[in-house]
Amino acid sequence: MRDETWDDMTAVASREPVVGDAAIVAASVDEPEHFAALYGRYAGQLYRYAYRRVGAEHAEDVVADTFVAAFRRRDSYDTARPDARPWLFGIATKEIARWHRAEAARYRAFARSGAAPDDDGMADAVAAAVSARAAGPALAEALASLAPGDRDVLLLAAWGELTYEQIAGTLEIKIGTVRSRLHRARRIVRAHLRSRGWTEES
Amino acid sequence: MDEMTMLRQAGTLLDPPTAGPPVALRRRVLDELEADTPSPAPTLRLVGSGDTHRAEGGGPGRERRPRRTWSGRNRLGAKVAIAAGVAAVTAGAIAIVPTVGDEPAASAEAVEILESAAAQSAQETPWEPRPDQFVYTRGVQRAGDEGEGPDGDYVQAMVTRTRESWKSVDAEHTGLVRGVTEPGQDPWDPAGGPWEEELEPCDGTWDACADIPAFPPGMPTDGDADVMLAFLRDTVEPYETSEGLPADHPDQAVFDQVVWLLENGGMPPEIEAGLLGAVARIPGVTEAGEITDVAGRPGVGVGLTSTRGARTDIIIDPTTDEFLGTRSDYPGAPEPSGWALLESGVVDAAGDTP
Repeated sequence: MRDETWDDMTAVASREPVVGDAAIVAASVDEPEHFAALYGRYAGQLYRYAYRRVGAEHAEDVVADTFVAAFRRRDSYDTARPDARPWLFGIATKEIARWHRAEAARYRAFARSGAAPDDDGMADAVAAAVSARAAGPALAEALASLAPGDRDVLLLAAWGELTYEQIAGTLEIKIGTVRSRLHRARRIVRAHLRSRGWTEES
Repeated sequence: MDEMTMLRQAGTLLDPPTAGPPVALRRRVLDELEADTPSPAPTLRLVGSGDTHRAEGGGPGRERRPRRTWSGRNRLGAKVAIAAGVAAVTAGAIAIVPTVGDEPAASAEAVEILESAAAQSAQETPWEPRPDQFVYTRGVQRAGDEGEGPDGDYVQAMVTRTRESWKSVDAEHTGLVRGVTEPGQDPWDPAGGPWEEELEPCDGTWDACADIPAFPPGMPTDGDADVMLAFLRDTVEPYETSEGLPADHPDQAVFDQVVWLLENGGMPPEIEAGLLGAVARIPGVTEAGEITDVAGRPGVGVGLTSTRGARTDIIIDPTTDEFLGTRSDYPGAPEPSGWALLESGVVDAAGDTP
C-alpha cells in the first residue's frame, strides 16, 4: 500500500467501495494517505449540501475545511460507526455555521428572485416538481428566518438525509433536542408556506 | 405534500450547476491533507503548482521525470528522432519539443486535468498485450452519416450505435465488431437491431487495412508525455494546407491522431498515460468546461479548436480522472458527434470479454 498515492486511493475507492469507512479511517491513523479514499466517497454529497446552503462562494471552503478537520481528528473516530457520512456532515455543519449570514442572504435572494443568486437559469433546467419550484421562494424565506441551530437540524434531515439519532450524534445534542428543534423549524416553514397560500393539500 | 417533501424537492433548485465538485477542489483537499501529514511517506506524489513528479524513491519502474517546461518561443533544437517500432528509449535521451509559432501553451486548467488523467492511467496495471491477443472495447458512438438513402435521395443523419470490437494486437488474427442500432435511428437500417462483422486479417499495414493492429506498433509505453509527443510528431503526417484555407495548427494532425487512437483503440493504460500527457503539451489546448458524453456521463472537456472552427474535446471524469470519451463539434454539423468508452481490456479470443 506504500506505493499508493492520494489520487489512487480516491480513484480506487470511488470505483470499488468494498472497504468500510471505519476501516479506512482506522488505517489512516498510521498511513494517512488512506484518508483520501473518503474524499472519493463523500466529496460530491458534501459539496452539493454545502452549495445548497452557502453557494458557490463558500462551498469549496466548507468541503476543504471539513476534510482537513476530519483528518486532524481521525484518531478519535468511533470505529464502531461503520458509516463516516454522518460524521462528515456534522463537521460540515460546523463549517457552514461560519457562514450563516451568507447562508441567510442566499435564501433571501432566492426568495426574491425565485432563482439561486449565483446561477443563470438553473431553475429552468431542473426537473423538480412544479409545486416545489413554485413554493421555492416561500421555503427559502422560511429557511432564512430560522435560528441557525434549528436550520442545521432541519436541513441535515431534509437534505443530508440523516436520521434523528445521527443528527444527535453529529451535533452532539440530545435526541430530544433534535426533535424539538425539528418540530419548531417545521412549524415555521409551514407558517411561511401558509402565508404564501400553500396548504397541506397543495 | 408535506413541508419536508417540498423542502427536499426545492433543494434541487439550489444545486450546483455541475454534477460533481470542481476538479480543482480535489487537488486542493489532497494538498491540504498532505501538508497536514507530519512525515509524508516517501512515495507520496507532490502535487501543486502544476509540478507533478514523484519524490525520490518513487514507485517501482514508474518513476516520473520532472516536467519539462517550454523553454523559449522558437525552435531551439532538433527533435530526437524515435523510429517507429522502437519502443525503448534510452535513458537520458532528451526530447526538446519545438514550440509552435505564437500559440500560447495549453491552458493551466487543461494541463491539470490532462496530467491528472495521465497520472491515473499510469497507475493502472499495464496490459502489455501479447501479439496473439485482442483488445476489447465496448462503447457508444454518435456520429453523422451521409450518403444515398434507401429511396435514392441524399440523406444526412446523426446515428447512435452501441458497439463492441475485438482488434487483433498484431493484425494477424481475425477480429470482430458487433453492434446494436436502435430502431428508427439509422436511415440505412431502419429496423435496427444487432449486427456483426468480422475483421479479416490482411497485410498488417496500419491504416489501409480492414484489420488494423489495435494500436500502432512501437508506441512508447513508459508514460512519458514528452517521449510520446516526440513519437507522435515524428510518425504522424502533418496536414497539407489547401489553397485558400487557413493553415492548420502545426499539431492538429497529432491531436486528431490521439483522439482517433483513444476512440478506436481502447488504449492500454501505459500508452493512454503518454497520450493524455502529450495533449497537455500541445499549445492552444484549453478546457471546455462540463461536457456530458454520449453515454450520459458528466465530465470535463479539454481539447483544441482547429483554425477552421472545429472543436474536439477529450472528456475526463472529474472525480476519478478516467478517460470517458470524446466530442467533436464541426461547423455546420447538425449537432456534435461523440464517442464514449464504456469498457476495455485485453482478451485471448475475439468474442471474449474481459
